[in-house]
Amino acid sequence: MRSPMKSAPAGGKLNLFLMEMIIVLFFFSIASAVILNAFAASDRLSRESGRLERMSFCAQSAAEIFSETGSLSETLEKLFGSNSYEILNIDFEGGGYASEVKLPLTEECAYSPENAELYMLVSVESEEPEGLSEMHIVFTDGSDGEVLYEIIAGAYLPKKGTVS
Amino acid sequence: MNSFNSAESKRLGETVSSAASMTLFLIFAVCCLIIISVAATAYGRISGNYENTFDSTAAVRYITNKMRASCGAEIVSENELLLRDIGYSTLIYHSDGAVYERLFPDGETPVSSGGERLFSAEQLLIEEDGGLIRITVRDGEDVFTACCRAKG
Amino acid sequence: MDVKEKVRKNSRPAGIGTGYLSLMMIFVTLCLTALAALSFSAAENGRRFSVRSADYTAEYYAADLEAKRMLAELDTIVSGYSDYRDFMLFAELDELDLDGEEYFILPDGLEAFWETPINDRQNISCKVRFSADGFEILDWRTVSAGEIEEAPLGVWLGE
Repeated sequence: MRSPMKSAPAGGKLNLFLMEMIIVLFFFSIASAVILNAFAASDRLSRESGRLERMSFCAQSAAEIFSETGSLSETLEKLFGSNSYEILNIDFEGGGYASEVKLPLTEECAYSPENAELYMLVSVESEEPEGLSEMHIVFTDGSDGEVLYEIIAGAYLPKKGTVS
Repeated sequence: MNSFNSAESKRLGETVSSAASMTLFLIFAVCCLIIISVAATAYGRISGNYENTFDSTAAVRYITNKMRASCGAEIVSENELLLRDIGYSTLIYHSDGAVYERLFPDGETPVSSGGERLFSAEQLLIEEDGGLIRITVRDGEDVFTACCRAKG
Repeated sequence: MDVKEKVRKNSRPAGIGTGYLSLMMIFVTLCLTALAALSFSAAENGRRFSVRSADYTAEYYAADLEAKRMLAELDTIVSGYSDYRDFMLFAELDELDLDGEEYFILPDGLEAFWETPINDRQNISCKVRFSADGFEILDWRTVSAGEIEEAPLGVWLGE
């Protein structure tokens, strides 16, 4: 490709080149900022979807274990291993009970009090008739407390019969 | 003599400006190449991450959904699961870096070969855990685990 | 020919011509845009898949809880009767208003069948047998909404 500025003097040509370079760099920096944002958004989306999958599997496992055991402490022990979980237990006067626990988790949904990237709030409430209990699991963001995922599951384990 | 000197300096000036613009152009070109290669690497990582995550999560979900829809589940070996249904059973197994499934009519002995390839996965682990079946699928760096009730 | 003219004749165009940089920038920007668009589309597909799967999990366990509530209510009602032929038992069961409910009286118990919807396409099909010893779950699985019960899948036998 022949330059249309062939007859321009050398100094003028360099000036022209520098001017073009400045304009190109200006537009290129604007385009790069937009494109970099797109890449950052893709990376964030990709990490978020991986985290959502893990939270969903963690909640599923908790729901399945709870439906077999009907106990919050056993569910946590099977899910995250033997640790000292601060479970808040409330016994109602008219019968029934409620338990609640807030677990600090990593993005991989592993129990980690030192590195809390998200929280898993698990609350269990007994319902009428006797033997039926409901478990509510809510995952929140570790920094801003935004609700990321929640499910409700249940167990029915009366003393005389079992759910298999 | 003076005019010759001025022509020489003009020529020198031209050479310097030519070399300067050429250098700037080369620097710009190299930077562009680096940016393209970084972007291509980022795309490769995001796309590879998506594929690995998709394969392993889809495998776990497929197996747990199949278990929920079946009449009963039985662990044959650590990477083979037999799901019983009305009139047939489904064997889900891992072989050659992929998860396969094969249907068998009632009365036929299930064998882990000749099945239909479902998802690529480096490892499929099926364990019994106190009335539950724990499914673990690993593909690349991604490991996903979920529990499901074992019926029957 | 004078020296000035000679110099001018021998001189070549200095450096890179105008336009090359712009062309290169356009090419690089296009490449980057294409890669960013592909990355975003892959990540968005992954997110959509995850959200759908996670929503289904939540729907399934909500339906499972509902089915267990029904089971608990049925169990409470049935455990109050020793004679499963009692018409008062059926009057109470009718009040529950379960989806597609069916009851079968057996010599030593009662079998109940009902469905709980998960979403528009799937239900949890439940079949429970009640007796004096409590209850036994015979069937608790997901079925397609409108699926014909006990219709075996046609497996090709190679004939």
